[in-house]
Amino acid sequence: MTRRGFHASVLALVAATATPAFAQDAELSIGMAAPITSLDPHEDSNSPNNATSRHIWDSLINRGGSAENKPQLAESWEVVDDTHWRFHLREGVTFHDGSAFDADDVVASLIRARDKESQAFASYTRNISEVIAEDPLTVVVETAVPDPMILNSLSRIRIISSDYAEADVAEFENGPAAVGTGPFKLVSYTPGDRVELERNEDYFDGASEWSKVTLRLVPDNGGRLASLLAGDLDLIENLPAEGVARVESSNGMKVIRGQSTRLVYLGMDVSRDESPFVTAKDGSALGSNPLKDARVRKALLMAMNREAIVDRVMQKNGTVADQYVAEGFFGHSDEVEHVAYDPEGAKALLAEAGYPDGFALTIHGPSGRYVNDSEVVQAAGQMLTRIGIDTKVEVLPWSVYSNNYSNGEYSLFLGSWGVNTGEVSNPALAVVAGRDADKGTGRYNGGGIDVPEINDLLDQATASLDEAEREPLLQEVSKLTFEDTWLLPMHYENVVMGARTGIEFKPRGDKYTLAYEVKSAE
Amino acid sequence: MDSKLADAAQIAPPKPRASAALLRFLKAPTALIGVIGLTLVVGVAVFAPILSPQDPYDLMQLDIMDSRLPPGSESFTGVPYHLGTDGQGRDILSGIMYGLRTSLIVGIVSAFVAALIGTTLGLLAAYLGGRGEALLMRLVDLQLSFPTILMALMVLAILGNGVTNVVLAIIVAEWATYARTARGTALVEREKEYIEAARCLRIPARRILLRHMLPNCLAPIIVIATMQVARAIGLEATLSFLGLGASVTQPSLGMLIANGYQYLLSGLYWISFYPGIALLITIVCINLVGDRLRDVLNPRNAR
Repeated sequence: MTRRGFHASVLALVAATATPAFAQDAELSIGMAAPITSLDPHEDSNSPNNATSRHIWDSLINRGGSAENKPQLAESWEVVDDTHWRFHLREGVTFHDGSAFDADDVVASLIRARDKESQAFASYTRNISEVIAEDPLTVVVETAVPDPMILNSLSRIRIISSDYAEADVAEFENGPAAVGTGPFKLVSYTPGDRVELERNEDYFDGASEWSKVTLRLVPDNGGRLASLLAGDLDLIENLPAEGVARVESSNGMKVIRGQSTRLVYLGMDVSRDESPFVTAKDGSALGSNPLKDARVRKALLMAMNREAIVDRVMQKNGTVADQYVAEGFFGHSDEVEHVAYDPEGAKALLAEAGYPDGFALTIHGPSGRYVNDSEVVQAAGQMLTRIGIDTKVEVLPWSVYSNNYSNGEYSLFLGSWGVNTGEVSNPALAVVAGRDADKGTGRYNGGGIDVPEINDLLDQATASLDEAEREPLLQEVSKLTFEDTWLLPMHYENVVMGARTGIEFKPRGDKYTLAYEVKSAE
Repeated sequence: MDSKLADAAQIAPPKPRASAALLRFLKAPTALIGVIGLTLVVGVAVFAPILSPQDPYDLMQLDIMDSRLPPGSESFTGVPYHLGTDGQGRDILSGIMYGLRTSLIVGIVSAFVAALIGTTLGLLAAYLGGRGEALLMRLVDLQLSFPTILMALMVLAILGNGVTNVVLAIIVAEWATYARTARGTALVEREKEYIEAARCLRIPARRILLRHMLPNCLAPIIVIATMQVARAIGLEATLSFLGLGASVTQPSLGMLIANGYQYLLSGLYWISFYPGIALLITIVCINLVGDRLRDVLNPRNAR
């Protein structure tokens, strides 16, 4: 036994029993569904990049799978005042090149991310005005305004070595600058093909059980599935719905399901007095916008057989949604009631609102953006037709659709929001808050929703740093939004992965696939 | 001189008698199969509202709970799905019948209009000659150097989706073929004595073009037009398959195939398979007819 192997096995005994097989030479190949655009952790912010960079680098805060903030390079933190946060750094952490981690690295990383030309992380760094190293293990972050989401923001910025603060993108992609404190070291990166990693034996949280990890970039659904079935990959992201039965029936393969925080909803034009795609059944003008009436909106929701959509269209790869976030997430309101499928009740409500014979409308949706998006829109069209609303379905390419819907050009449209922060203010500010360019709210509010009570609650919630104070405010936002049916919540997209049976992985809400969290069941 | 006399005086090749041509046409068994098949296909398309068990374009009649049922299943209300249903609970058989309508209309209209435009321009170019001809023919060359599908995709990118736009796109993509053929044939005819005679008699250009040259150039155009109907149907199917064709709730054959494509790996073959067969039969029948037409109309084969 080599000295190193001996070392590792002693460590294995000492380490928590959660990682029983960790000192063995075990290799893991993951099929990623979307390509990464850069290995520079501050160059471009998108899920595949950020998931990949988490293998090599750590952040101050560790964002858990259910969007909880846990210590990572910062061992603990405290609020000094409304605009100052003090972080106590972990002692004894080293970078892959052996140099020690300290406060200078944090300062260099946060400033680099903030000032980088690409401005990819601007939404996370815009409030950071100054980062001060008080001593080698203490950092104070000063924000321009009180920022309750600062922990979430910091969890997104990877901490690089201050030696490479000036390094450009190429130096990260060729390797020399790709030195982090994370659980894996970079071996090689082939753009558009793969990232090869090896275990960081000295990882502060215990070395991974995988000695070698390959992240294969396989955007093609069929190719990814075929590679899994052929045994080239151990775990694949976004198992296509039509491949689920195939994987389930294969020996030694399994499907891993989890809930994501992506809410799919139908938005309605509630601002105009006459909506462009709502007419009387004979095509003449209706003279009013029925969608402004809360009873009509409720009737639309009662018409939706959402269980059937999840079961038949999503092929069980979704969960029926009733509000922004599922139970257990910050801002979920217990007072929002599930609206059951009830076409007769919906017709009665329409009649009560003054539309006993219904009306005609066009529902718009994208194709190829969300899971089964065009099928969901068609199914919704069927269901509306059944309560006496003559429905036309129009599906457009995402490039055309994305601008049109967020600018409020449609009457009834499919929308979706990935709740990356795992709390209600994130979707509510973007989708339901009144449109206000200065405050940066309502950017994706395609229905023109503008409810003063909701706006006020959101203003209060975003100005407060106290979680205990924020929670009831956001719960009230959830309640007000769905009590008056300002949005029609459809479902949360599920995370569906394929794996060989020896692999255990709990899918994360943000859909990141992290090798460090993959365990072997053997 | 009386122009009627002039027409009578033309020295055009003798026209084959229609009934004889028809007889000769039907002599080949393949042509007979083609004609019978085509009659069936057109009949099904025309009478789709009467024949089909379901109106696949009426959202009221679709039920998501009936989605992806295998062939031979029955709906909740007892309507049989002979060929199964697709992901929206649409009866595949009804979908094919209605889809054939879209496909045939697109094929025939686009082939006809493209033939009209292409032939007119080709004849004009041949008759007028000179710069106009050179310009037009270089344009034709330029266009024929692009793959048809690329041409159609470019047009659809500008115009947007929809059946009408698909027809337009196919016309834009296909007119050049007719123009080149028409010009080629017309050039040969132009040098013949009867045209010379007609010119000497000072018959107006329009009349020479329409009454003398066009009828004698028509045979190859008809053959190409027949084949182009099949090509246009195929092209429409391709464009719909790529999601650029008809509306999602009024699927053509190509879109029906596309809808089922994703399920092929999981064994739900019928969603793509049967519309594919319908498309295949349609195109093969048209091509059989077109092939035979070419043989019959080719003077070299006349015995």
